[in-house]
Amino acid sequence: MTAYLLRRTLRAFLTLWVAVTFFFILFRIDVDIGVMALDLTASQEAIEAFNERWGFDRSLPDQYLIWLSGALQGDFGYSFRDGRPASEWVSERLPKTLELSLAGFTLMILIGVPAGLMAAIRNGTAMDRTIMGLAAAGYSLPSFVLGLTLMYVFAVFLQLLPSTGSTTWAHLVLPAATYGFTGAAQIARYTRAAMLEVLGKPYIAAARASGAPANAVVLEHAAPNAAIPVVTMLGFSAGQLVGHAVIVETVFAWPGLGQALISAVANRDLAVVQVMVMIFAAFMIGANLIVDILYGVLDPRIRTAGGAHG
Amino acid sequence: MSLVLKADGLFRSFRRHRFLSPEEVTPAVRGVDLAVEAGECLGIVGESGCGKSTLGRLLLGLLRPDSGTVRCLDQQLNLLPLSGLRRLRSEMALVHQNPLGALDPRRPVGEQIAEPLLIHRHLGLSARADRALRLEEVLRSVALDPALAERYPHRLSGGQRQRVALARALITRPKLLVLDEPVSALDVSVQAQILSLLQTLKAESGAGLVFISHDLRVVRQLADRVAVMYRGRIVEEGTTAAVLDNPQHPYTRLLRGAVPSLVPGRRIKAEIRPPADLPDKGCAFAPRCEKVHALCRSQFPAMTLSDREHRVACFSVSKPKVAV
Repeated sequence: MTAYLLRRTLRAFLTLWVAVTFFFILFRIDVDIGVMALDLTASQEAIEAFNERWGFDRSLPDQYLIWLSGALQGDFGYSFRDGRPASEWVSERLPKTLELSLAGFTLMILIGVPAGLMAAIRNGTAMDRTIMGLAAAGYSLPSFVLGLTLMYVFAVFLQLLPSTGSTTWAHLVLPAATYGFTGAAQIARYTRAAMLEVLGKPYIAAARASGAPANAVVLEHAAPNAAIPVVTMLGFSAGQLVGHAVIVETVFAWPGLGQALISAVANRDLAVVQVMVMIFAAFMIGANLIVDILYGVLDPRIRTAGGAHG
Repeated sequence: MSLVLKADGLFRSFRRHRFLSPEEVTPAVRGVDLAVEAGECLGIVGESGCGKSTLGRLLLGLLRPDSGTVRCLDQQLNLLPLSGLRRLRSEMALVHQNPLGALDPRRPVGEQIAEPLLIHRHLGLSARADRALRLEEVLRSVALDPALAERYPHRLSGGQRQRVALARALITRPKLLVLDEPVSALDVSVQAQILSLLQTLKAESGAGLVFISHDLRVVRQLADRVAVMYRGRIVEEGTTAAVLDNPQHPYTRLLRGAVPSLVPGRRIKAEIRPPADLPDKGCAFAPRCEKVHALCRSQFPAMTLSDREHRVACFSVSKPKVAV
């Protein structure tokens, strides 16, 4: 198990390094950053002065080594716009994004998993069809439409909750709900499918035949087995959380990373974009690492894989 | 002898609701009567899709019949309260065809085998030490090394898995055991081992066995009596020797012909596929039957009542006695 963890962690760091390198090169290939960052009417001297000031006149490997050695010491470069370290943007914005993402993710699990379980247990009934109908609606509704609808109903029409901003807990409700509902639809569908598959297995029939109470069959025998595909799906959603926040944050003017990313891209603020892309990649990779670890906990076949003989 | 199981007039069909179109009804079991005595093994044979597995689930009360009754150990399953049914489940057990699917991949097999002892606390074996003792005993009775109890199902062989499934079924010392194709997923050599184990267990436990299989050779080894099922009905029933050596119903003869034989000229007959639609009335076998009468298409032949040893539902057998 320890070897398994070490291997997975090492692989996660390697993946992050590859991703970061890929983006570093992508952002610099065949692009005159001076022209991009200033504008097309800037004079040749101004562009050259800019490139020299920020080091873009050096060769690509040089730039990469300088950036990498900086990054390893926590220095991710400086914003073209206000000269602040790019990492400051992250440390300022990330907590807000995490607050929204975690609230949305929790809501997504709290709604999605029980709804999926319920639909699977009552398979084929009106309950199942209602839940799945709602899930199909939630799944196909873009989050900005849902967000704007919720905002219209609860902020404009009923005036119960604030529409935009992030100063109080009440501000969190609508964006988190938007986030949670959209994700819950997908999780519910997944949970239902996974449960139905497991409930059809002979060992579930065997548990019923041996007289286990219905609740115990569902919760102790079926659910842990169905958890494996659902955890995969949840890990995937968790990895995308921060990236997905871009849309919801924009709709609700939530001052998180997503909003900052959009303005940084609009401003061609290279160092900031770069560090944010790295954060998004790190979240995806981190979520996958956690899923891998959870697999080991959930599935003894993986845990004992080292000593298995077929 | 005492009856452990008696089923009367069992019907069960499966319905599928489809949006904006007529309901699809698939009749699976269409009027089955049977009885199993303690210490006896009743073999149920028939081709796949004839309703044998549905019948097995009906007999154990895992599926509710549309009509008809099942009595197990003198208790009528559909009249029992849920708690009573659950308690009765310690007396009834099921063994599945696919031993890997029948075991939870996430738990060591010993834990799974002993679980019924925790469910049925009235047996008085739920304490840890009692469970461990009974587990070892039951593992020895199915000829498994008790050390294997720690393993997960994927680390056992097919034969070992089926022994585990048997051990789980036997741990509460049930009076009725339904074995649904227990050996058909196994290699022939392993089949033979499991069959001889089943023979021993049958003799030792005194439980009534219902052995569902499509394989006549396997049924012959284990069953005392055989019931042949075709499309949800029992068409021939009697002692194993009577039914398998002197088959009366044309369908049983067809099945017998399907068993490969070394005698030239008695090899597999050309398979006649069952027609997709069930006739509305009359004998379901009529469209495939060599000896079909006009009467067969309008009326279902009743079981001959003459002989407890051997009963047949076919006009070609019963008619000569009735007609002129």
